[in-house]
Amino acid sequence: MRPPAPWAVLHIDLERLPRRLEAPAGACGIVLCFRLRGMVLGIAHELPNAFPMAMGDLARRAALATGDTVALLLGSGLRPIRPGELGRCWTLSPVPDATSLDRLAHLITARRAVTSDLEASIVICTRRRAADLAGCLASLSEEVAKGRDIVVVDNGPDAETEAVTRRHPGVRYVQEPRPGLSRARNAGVAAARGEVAVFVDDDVRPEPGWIEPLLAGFAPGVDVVCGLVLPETLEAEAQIAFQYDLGFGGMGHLPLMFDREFLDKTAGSPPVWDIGAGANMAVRRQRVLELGGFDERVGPGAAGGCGDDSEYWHRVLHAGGRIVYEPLSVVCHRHRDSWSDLKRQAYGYGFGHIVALFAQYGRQRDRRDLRRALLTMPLWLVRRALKAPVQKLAGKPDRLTGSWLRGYAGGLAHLPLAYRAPPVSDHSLKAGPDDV
Amino acid sequence: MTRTWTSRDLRAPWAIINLEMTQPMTPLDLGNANGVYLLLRHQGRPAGRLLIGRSAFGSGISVSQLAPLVRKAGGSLAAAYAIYDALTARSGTPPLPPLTIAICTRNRATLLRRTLAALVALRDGRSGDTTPFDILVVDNAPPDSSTRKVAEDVPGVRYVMEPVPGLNFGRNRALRETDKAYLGFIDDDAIPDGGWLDGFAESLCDQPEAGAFTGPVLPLVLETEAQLRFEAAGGFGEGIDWQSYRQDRWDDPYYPAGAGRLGTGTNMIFRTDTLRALGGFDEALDTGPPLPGGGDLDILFRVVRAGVPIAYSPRQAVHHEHRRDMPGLRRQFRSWGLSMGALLRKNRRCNPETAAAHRRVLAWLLVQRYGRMLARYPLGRAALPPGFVLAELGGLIQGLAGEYDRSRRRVALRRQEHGR
Repeated sequence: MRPPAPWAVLHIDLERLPRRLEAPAGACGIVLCFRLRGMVLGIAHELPNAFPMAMGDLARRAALATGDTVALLLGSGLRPIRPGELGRCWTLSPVPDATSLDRLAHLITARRAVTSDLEASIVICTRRRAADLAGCLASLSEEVAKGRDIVVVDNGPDAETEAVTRRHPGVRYVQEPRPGLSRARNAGVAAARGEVAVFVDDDVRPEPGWIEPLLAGFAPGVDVVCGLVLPETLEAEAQIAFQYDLGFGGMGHLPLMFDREFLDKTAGSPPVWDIGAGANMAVRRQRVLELGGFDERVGPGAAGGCGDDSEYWHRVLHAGGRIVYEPLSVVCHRHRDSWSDLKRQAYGYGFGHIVALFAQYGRQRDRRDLRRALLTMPLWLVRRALKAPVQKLAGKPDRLTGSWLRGYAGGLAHLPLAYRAPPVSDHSLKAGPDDV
Repeated sequence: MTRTWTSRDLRAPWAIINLEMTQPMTPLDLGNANGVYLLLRHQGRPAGRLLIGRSAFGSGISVSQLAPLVRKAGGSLAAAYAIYDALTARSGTPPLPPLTIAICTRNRATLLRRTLAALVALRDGRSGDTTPFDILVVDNAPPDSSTRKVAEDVPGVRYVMEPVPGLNFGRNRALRETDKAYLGFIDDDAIPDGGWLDGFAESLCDQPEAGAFTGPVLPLVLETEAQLRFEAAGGFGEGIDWQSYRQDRWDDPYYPAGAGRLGTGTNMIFRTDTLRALGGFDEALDTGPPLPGGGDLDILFRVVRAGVPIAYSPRQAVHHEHRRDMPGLRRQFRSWGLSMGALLRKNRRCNPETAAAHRRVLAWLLVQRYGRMLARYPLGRAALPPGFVLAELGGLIQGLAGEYDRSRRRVALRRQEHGR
């Protein structure tokens, strides 16, 4: 069984293993996050009875959790590889030896030293979460001090958010009164001054040095770079469920490259939603403008829940652009800790996913997207719903299926998106920066 | 995973080859063997096993055919070993604690001689230990003096005789005889791998609180069809794996009732205090027919239930000579079913809080294990004849149907006869 909440997340630096590791008091589950020069190489889950843990035992767990990743990273030389090449890369990568970890540490340091001369703006889209925003801005103090262009897009808008923003001189405040994350993103892209817009959600806390790997990922032809999102805490049952049941925990530890091949080589609808997360993503501004911006019919605030990011990625790939997933860039996400928020999230995921698929079909006419929306998803939901009573008997009630189902049903109402021409002109993109 | 053998390949002889993964690979030539069992090693430590039948690539296997298979079978553990070495930065292996290795044997002098020779070589080959380990032969109800003669031939081996027949009487006798902090057991039909005790010493260093130390049981020879089929069916199920087992496990509904993976009787080392605190081995198990097994699983289960961890290390490996003949192997499967059934009953009674896990294990056995094994026949992908599955199932039913209580009564009588 999965242990009950609260869980503790411990970050372990592989170059400074503690002689003896104690479990945090009160934690029923411990998530060990093994890191080398800041890069996450593997995750292990432990019960409190495994503590206190001697160094050798910790080393064993670290070795088992990170071994495959280390071999692959050395095989690829930390360069992003296509998901389809992973198997070949694994076979060809040399058998690691005792110097492998040292070599990888040097590689990571060298990779971090690569700087990009792209100019970047940080865009924070927020809506009525002034406290979250204050924490987010506080974690960006280093970037503020450096004079980085930072734009807060208030999608509320409300006075409190404005007041929080004004407390940070140098941070620009932009309003987008029409609700919708896509609209806010477009307003942010329009207001930003850099060649790259780095999106940061108001409920994430970027780690220092998260922005450089994102910018370094913009090789020629790369239009989007996404980074890793880790849970900040897993203290509430709802946060654990968000991470492990809502599919937020599936982000990998290997740099990946997505391109046209990714669209062509999958049998079903290409899983663009697995590429990364909008909570930690950087986009080339020029490309966003060329492609007509984020689809304002999709995403939180407009339709629901999600899809504003993945629908754009889908368009980028179709237009021949490339997307890089760069796990060297790490932000921590504060998961919602109440069940009602989590259920709303599941509802939104069910809803937004379908709407994004319809919108994708409307633009690209790829039948796999429609098949997923109208066949694969309902089948998956029916299977899930049928399994629910059994799981309830087994003591593992599935509390999110109802929300998924409702979200799906709501999303179906947006079927016309699949047959309506996409909007040609766009208000928020055309509107220039309207600093208030 | 690509299948590298079919049931047609499961005819003797097969070759057993050690393949060092850190060395450049060379092509393999099967010669007249019908297949090859590759034991993949990373700097001597077992990292995986790979069975390749003649039907897969013919008699010659090129490096380009071999490399991806080796990588898949042993790559993960090899990588883990390498990183473990870098993280611990240990120079040499830690020294051994005071240790007795006991061999409980009965009337198998030839086999015993081989095991003793390997143990003595291991003992005399070690340097750096202040006290080399003791070797103790426990002769269980001997019909003649052949075992005593073998033990007396080898210098530095202690011999004791346990008159009450039953493997666990022998094991408990070893527990009474030893004055060392750790007590290990190896069977007379197995020999230790070169790194057996290094693996144990390393586990002890990493998990000083562990009460039992176990590891994989690898094939010593694959000379007969029975040995081959057994190994192709998975061999001893614990596998080449690096684990620690405690009272509970993350997200494992079968734990701790899923017997068999904590370790095996032919490869287990205990902290003597832990064994004494638990009252030693259950003498109603491992009695010879009709309940010939289960004592090893029972003691390991009791160790974890007592809240003491078990360290399972792939380095602590032994090589075991599997049953040579098919009828013997069939009896073995029946005996596993029997001990599993008896233990399910016993453990459920003694640990009511694990009843749910026991129910799940029983359901898993019936549906997944036997169901799947039987379903493989029509597909031609089974390593063992269906009779073996039925034998194990029959044993399981007999074991569930009160065999443990009958055995306890028989053992009480046996004790009386010997005035205990």
